[in-house]
Amino acid sequence: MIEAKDLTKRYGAKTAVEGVSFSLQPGTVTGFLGPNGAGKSTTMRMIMGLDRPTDGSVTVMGKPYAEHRNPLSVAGALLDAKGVHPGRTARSHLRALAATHSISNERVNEVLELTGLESVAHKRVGGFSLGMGQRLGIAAALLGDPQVLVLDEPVNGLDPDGVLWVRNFVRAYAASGRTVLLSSHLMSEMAQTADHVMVLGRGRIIADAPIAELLSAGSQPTVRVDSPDAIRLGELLRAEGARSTQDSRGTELLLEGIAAARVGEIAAQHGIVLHALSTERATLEAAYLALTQGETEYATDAAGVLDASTAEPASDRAATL
Amino acid sequence: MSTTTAHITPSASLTGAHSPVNGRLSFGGVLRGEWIKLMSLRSMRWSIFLMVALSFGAAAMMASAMKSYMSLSDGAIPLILVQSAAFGTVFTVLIMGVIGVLAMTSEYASGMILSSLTAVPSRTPLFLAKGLAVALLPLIVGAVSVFGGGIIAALITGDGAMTLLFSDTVLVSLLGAVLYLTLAALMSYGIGTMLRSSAAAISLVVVLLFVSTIAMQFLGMTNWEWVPVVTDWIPPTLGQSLETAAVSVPSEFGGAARMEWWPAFTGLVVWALAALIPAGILFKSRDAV
Repeated sequence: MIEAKDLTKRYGAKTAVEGVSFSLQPGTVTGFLGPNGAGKSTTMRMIMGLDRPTDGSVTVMGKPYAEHRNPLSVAGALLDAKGVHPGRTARSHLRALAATHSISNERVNEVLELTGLESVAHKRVGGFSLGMGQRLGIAAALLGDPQVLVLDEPVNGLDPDGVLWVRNFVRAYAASGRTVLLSSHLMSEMAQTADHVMVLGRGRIIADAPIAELLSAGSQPTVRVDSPDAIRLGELLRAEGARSTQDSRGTELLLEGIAAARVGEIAAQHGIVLHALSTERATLEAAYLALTQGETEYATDAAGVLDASTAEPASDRAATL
Repeated sequence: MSTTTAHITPSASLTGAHSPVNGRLSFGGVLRGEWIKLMSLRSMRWSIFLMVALSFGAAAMMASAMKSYMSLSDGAIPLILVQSAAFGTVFTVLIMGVIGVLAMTSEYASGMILSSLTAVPSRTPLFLAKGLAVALLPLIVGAVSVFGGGIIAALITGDGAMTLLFSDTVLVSLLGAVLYLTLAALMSYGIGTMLRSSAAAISLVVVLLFVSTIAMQFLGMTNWEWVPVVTDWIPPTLGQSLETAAVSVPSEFGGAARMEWWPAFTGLVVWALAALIPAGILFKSRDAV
């Protein structure tokens, strides 16, 4: 488990992380979301004792990470996929890290096998693709069979097979009673992987909730209708209290404040043909954008610690997610 | 490479551990890890080969040249052996310096430092172990280069030179050459750790270990009083003193050493510590990236 209390990191006048507190429980996968520059990587580095907090504290399995006698068996981290000397082979890289804890060569072979790198273990890392670099980073994180996994953008650069593997792997890892914290920019991926989501905006936590709660707190479900007689149907539905969420485009209507079943009934009463009728649930992406948009507006009013990368409009940011 | 890994089910073999992983952090382990890091680079193997070849070649050249210039009767053999065996250090000290720098700066350039410090989060053992590995390399490779060079020089000189190679005066001088390489590597390691940038640190090391001699020779043309004093205390002069203090050097071969063995050794230790102590403090206190 990981517990942070009032974690703060400042670089000179710039605040990267401010007053962040959380408690990550064993048996859960926690997704870490936030715009670029929101402080996710800084927080992860502070968890692993790599950056010193300006204020506050963070413990892993009860004490600061650096105070453990066997750190690699307490927590494993993937923080920089290319964090390997390009001239070294994958196996040498892992053997050098394993040696610090007197971890056996058999274990090195196990993690190579587990991450599907056996066939390239003797190749120098300089020729690795981004995805292979990610696999090697995950292999290194697993060397000590740790209780806690901290993964920064683990699926970045992976092929679909690899993405599926990471998802199944971290789900199973948490299911065995361990703690997983992972960040990702892929909302759909996060929605399928995480139990719990923390959203960081401008160095502060703006949401910390189970994923289901975050989704239901988002916008109401939208009903999508496709009908050749959309204009007349729209008038009838608005009379029933529905609101169009956007202008009708040809035969399509997007409506809020009415259930799909009621739309069907009204259409049947008036003999209107429907080509499609569906309910669109709120997505994690929509919930995330709603949250971070609010954060942007709030923070733009507040003078002070602005980071250019988070000050861009939410619509621009959506394109990068 | 990804054909067998897509489906993982929660089970005992989830993390691939067929047996419990009983890792325990120890200084010996960290040192072993650092040694693996150094030796697993192809560039390191080339550097070692280059260093040994340079030393042997320089020793053979110097011994042949000195043998033809000097009469071997006046106790010149120890001088020939020492000058020949240590001649290569003028260049090989640069290789050692660059290795000392890169041992640390390559970790920052590649991002490897994040993995290294995750494995050794208390940091100081990592700094000490890497320093020890950086020192072991010139101790071993330097000994092979310098003593091997001595044997080559003795074979070329003949005339009982092989017996004199193992005399106290010669052995102390050759040991001086090995210690010069080692202390220069440690100083460079400290500089690399402080600056964290390969280019900046290598530039500074080349200035200290090589350019300084040339600069002081130019300045020697002035009559400024401080020039000879500073010249005595720059690393290359200290190294040369350490290599030749024990033998008498005629003026046509540069004259007597500028300093005795122990002061020269102390001077090089001070250079190394002046870099290592602030480096160790910074390494412990700074953020990892």
